[in-house]
Amino acid sequence: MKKMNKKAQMQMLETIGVIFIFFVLILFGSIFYFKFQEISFQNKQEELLAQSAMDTTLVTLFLPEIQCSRGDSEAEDNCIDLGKVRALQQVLKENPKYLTDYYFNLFSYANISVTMVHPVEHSWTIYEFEKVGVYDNGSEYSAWDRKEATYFVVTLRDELKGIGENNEEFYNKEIVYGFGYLTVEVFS
Amino acid sequence: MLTYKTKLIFGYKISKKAQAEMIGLVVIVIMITLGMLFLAKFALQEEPAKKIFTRKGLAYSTMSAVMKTELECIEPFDVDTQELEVQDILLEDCAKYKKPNSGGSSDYPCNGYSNSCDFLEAELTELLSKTLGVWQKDYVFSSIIVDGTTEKELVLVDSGGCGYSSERDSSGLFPIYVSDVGLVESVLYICE
Repeated sequence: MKKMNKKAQMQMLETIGVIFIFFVLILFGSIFYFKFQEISFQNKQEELLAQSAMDTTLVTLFLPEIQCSRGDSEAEDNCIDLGKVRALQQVLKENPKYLTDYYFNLFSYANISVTMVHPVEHSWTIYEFEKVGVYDNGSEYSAWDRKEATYFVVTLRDELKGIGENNEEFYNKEIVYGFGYLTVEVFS
Repeated sequence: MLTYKTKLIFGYKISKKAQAEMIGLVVIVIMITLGMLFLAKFALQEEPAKKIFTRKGLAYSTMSAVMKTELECIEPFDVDTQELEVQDILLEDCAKYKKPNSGGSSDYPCNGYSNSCDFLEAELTELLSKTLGVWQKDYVFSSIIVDGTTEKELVLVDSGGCGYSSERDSSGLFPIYVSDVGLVESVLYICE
């Protein structure tokens, strides 16, 4: 009788051991699965942000407000008219409500700038709308988790006098095709 | 004492204990296979389509912008600055200068360079290093004269590091026809 009890105890111990190992395996599997899900979620978020950056860049490249046009014929590829850029800057400066009423629907939270590399180095910010939060004391803080920047090299056509935003003169030529790039930063 | 019953399967006597152990082994094999499939899924993940699209778009836009750009040129004994377009003026002049048996004369010896090819190479090196170089991308820009089956190099700007890269995209060919010389093809590769 005593011998039988010991055997039953041993078998119970064995069963408990097997169940313990089984649950440890289940636990490892669950940890692995949740970690995998977390990484997939982060990847998906990054992918969506990258997609948003791409969409905003394409919208900017084909924005009639800054694109190089040639009368009635089709617009020039990968070309930004600096005269239009300066005019857009001026209009947005004088009418800030255009930013919230119209351009925010196009670009959402983003920073868009045009940088000239040749003949001189200069940069124009054409849209700036960073995601910010406000503390109780009224001070602002950046409320975005991720930022994705996309660059596109463009030709910069200038049919005016080459006057910058602070009225400094760059060069004296009437029409110049410069070299620069468009930077689009989107936030999430 | 424990006894295990035996069963006749395909003419063999197999005990129930052996069957139970076989099931255990099969479960372990299935688990290992699933684990390896998960690992393979991670390891063989393809490059995101967005990355390829961006690199291709960047290569094309860079090449298109480079070709339309006007470079400042000051010729010897001249005080005025000329604005010369890369594609229609400088590349054409370079092709005429490097054409075999041309005598080697260049109409635009700008900014102290003896010919437009050297001037173009120096300027393009600067422009590309200020854009693609700053964004930590490797690149190769090349322009060649295609004459039948032979090719002659006109301009080559290489950042290095593009040679063995598998992640590489091209702007596509930008051909121009230069009279008395032939076809001049330019291409830009961007790698990561």
